Amino acid sequence: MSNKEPKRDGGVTQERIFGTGEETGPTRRSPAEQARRAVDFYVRTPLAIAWSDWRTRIGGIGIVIYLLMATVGVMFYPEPTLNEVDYFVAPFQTMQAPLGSDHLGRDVLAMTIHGTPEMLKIVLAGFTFAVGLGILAGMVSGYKGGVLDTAVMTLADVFIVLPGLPLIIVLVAIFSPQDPFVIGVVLSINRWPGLARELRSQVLALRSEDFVEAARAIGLSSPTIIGQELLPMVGPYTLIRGTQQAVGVIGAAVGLYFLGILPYNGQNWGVMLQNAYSQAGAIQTPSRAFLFIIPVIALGGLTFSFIMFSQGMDRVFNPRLRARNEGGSREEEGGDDDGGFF
Amino acid sequence: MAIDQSQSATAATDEPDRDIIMSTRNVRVSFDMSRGQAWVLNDVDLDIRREEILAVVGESGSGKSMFAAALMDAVEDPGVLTGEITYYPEDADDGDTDQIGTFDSGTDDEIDVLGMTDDELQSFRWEQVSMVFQGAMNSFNPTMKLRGHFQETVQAHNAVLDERMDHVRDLFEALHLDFDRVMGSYPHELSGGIKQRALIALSLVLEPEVLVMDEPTAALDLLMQRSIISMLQDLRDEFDLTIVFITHDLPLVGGLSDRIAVMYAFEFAEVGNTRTLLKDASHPYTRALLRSVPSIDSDLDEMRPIEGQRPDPVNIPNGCSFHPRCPIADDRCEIEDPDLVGVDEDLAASCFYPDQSREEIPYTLETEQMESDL
Amino acid sequence: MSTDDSTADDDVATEDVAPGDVTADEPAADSTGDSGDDGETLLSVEDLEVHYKPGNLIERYLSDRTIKAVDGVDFELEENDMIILVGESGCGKTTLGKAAVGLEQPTDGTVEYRGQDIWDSKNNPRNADIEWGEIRRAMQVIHQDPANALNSSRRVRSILADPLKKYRTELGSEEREETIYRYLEYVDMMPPEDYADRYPHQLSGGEKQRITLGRALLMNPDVILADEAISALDVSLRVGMMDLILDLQKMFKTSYIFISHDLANARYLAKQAGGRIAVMYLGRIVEIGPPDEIIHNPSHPYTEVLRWSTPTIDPDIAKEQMSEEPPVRQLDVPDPEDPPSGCHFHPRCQYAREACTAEDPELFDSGTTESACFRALPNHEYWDSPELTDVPDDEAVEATFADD
Repeated sequence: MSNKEPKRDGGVTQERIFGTGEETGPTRRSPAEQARRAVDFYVRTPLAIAWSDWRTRIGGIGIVIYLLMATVGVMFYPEPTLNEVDYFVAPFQTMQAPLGSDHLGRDVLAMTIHGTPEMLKIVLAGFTFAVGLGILAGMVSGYKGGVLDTAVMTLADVFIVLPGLPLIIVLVAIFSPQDPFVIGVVLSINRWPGLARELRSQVLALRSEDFVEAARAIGLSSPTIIGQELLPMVGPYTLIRGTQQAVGVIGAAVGLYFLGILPYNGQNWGVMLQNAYSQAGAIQTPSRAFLFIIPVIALGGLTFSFIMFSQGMDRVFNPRLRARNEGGSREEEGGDDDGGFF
Repeated sequence: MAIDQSQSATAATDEPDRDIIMSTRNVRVSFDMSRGQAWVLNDVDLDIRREEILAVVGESGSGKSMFAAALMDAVEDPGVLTGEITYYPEDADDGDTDQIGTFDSGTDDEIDVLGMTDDELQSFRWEQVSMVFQGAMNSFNPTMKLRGHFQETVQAHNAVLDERMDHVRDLFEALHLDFDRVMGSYPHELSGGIKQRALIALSLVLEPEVLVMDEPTAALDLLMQRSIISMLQDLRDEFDLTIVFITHDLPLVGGLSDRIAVMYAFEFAEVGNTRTLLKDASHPYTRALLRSVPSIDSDLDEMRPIEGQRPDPVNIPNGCSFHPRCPIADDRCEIEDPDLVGVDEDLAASCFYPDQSREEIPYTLETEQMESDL
Repeated sequence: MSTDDSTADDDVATEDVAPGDVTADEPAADSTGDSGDDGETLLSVEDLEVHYKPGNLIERYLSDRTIKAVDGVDFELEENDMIILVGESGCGKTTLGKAAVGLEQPTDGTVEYRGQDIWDSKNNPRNADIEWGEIRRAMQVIHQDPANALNSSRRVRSILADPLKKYRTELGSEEREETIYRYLEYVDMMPPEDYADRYPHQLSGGEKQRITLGRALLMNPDVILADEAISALDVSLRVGMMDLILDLQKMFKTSYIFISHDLANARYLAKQAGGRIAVMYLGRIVEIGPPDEIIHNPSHPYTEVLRWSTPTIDPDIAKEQMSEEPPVRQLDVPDPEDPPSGCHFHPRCQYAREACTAEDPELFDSGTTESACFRALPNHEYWDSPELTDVPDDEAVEATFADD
């Protein structure tokens, strides 16, 4: 830094700081090197960190399996048809129905595979709607405060207070949704307010932080501040809570199908459960219990994968871990990693 | 009862008839970190004399807080504390014979602090050696009035409540606190300055011999800071305390302390009589530090920052740990690590070239010339 | 020294602006930014008040309690000027600073930037001479704790790019990067590419503070509020940081409002920059003037208290001072919700007399400084007024602080 020599004239001016001037600047990194670093930062490192956590690993593998089922599986494995095999064939008996058959002679494995896309669509819609609206409502009202905050939170409170299940049943009865995306949205209608309130309280705490004040001083707009400064800080929390909500949506969907409230429309794990219960008497008859257990495993596996994955993902947001995992020439981090210790 | 002076270099500078109350030898604290082993206290030798006020001065990251923790064997896991820390209790014949609390030194006149059991440590702390931690004024129990805090502490050490509360009245008077008002208040109702003084009283409730204070005035306003410094001197005089005052603020202790020990890179760079050290320090770091701290009347053109950065505990430089930043370092300094050796009768420094240091690193305490004087 | 700088400025101003060449922007008004003595006041604060009502919605509605964080402050800041606000906690220096740079809205009074009321500009953009965007850019802030002032999830590169993206839209991304590298090189953070990729937790305290400084400076502001900007740094680094700030001030001709609780640091800055020190107490400025006068010849009794409280490094003087009594009658600061009548300082003032309980002094010219004390006026009735006989009940210092 500066020392006490007489100030050099002209040696230190704004031009020297800001201008590129004619002198060749010190060698900067080549574009190839820069590209490599970019890939490192945005792709390799997050993947490496994510993979390092067993939860993300297991969850990620699980999600990939389901995605494969929903895409490749659906393409190649034939759809279930009536009477393709005998009724109630036990699992692992025949290659025609590797996991057995139901009361109409349909291949259980086929039904499971072909029920996956619908379930994934419901989850996706539910997650996006709940998280999206939660972030929008919660963070904007938390940051802005005032009348907007009061209005939005009152609305949220209304939804929180309304009994969820009856509300959904009424909505489903009115709209009879068939499209899985629409179903997802309807089923998460009472979930966004909880998330909104939680994000709002996080934002309330963050907005008086110095770095937010500095951002305001720079003159950044509110949307920029919320998106650029605040969102990364609530990222892990939002992801985990959002996933929990999405998983709740799955449960709600299955429950409503089971109860017969959602309209029956083809392959569906919930419908499988309903049939197992009512048509096959799977609960009473041990030999038919598989008709119940297999959809439950499918559901449980999906839920488990999502939850594990989201929990492991919070490591990726942690800047200390990102820094530590980055490839680079720096051996040790100069800095107060251990500051305040002694 | 004078303790026989050991042969260490520190002792060589002691006046022969000063009484030692605590001594540390070869004390080290290390932490295992993912990037290596961190030595946050690196072979520290120091004697603390009875009834003195010793200031331990160092910047953040110098190891001073760790030193304080080591004195009470309070280094947090996973830190590993090794070395010798010895406490010399007052002879039962000399001082008062009332026992406050449960600590029983028996007939020992030397107590190995690191060798005590957990129970012994529990009575040792607060009854013999007490501590005011950094930021402690924020760790009062918010649901309990101040009176409750005092009662809790007294009862935990099986002392007599009424007796102790009488003593607390004396302490409060020395600290200019209104006994009834403060005792009857919750922590959030009191200002920072009052809380800190109450905390000092709490640390002295069992009449310990030694009080260790880690940045006790750091978060307080100037006036309160200055006033507490005066109160500490009164407390020492009235209650025969030994005080170890840890701070980064060198000018703060210029009038208060009898001796100053300057820490750098987890060791003591210089130890000695306050006046001698401040007037004419011998270690290059101390001199550079004095040159870099603007005081209210220092000559501004003489101020210089210290170049470089403080050392990483995992990567302490070889040889003398100050050599990368030292203006007079030479080859020897890169290889050999100097011990604390006497420079003057009452000053010791861990440097090979104290005379050169005094010649080549100028600093001045002289105030600038002013036309209008007070 | 300054002539050389201004020559460089002229050269730069007349050159063609090459890409990446960023020079001191002419502010919207007509000042040439040369040496600031063409009469236009940069920042002017008049009768500023910031009052809070504590408590929740209902409490605020029902009760009368007000905390007067800033209670009637006037001051002016020129170009290339420096003013340092000192005082103890609760005196309102932080609130005043933030209100002066438009980060907090006052409840009364005006803040004018180059003659333009800043809140007027924000609320009535159509009638404004200087628009809010320009004002916002001209007034920046550096906070005390650099760890808090930097978003821990963002890299240095992206933190420093914020001001450039907003105000230097003519720069492409490579030029932006180059500008950032140049700044890092200037403040000795080498190699700059490496530092630019770091997260805040990978920087030392001093380095973090240099980044917050850079973020403010890359806006090319006219005023920077430095809120205890050096208190969180190591002691031996503080002089270095102050020197850097002073260097950059000379280069960019920025004005500073510095907040400090440490009189020694305030003195260093004020003397090096030729600025003023303003002493605050309970929401008001009680004395303002050049550092030598404030410290060695204070007019206001509270300034004397601050001076007394600041330790000196000379051990002999320090030893003498240990036996001195503090020049106050009461150790603890009074409740800001219930300030004393008349002169707010009178219950603690060692020179207080009855006249002080009746009237509230303004800033009077004492010859060397401006001081809000009747003692500055040789003919005031204060001098005829009887001394106060009652000793305040709380923590009366006089009775118990006497030396044994």
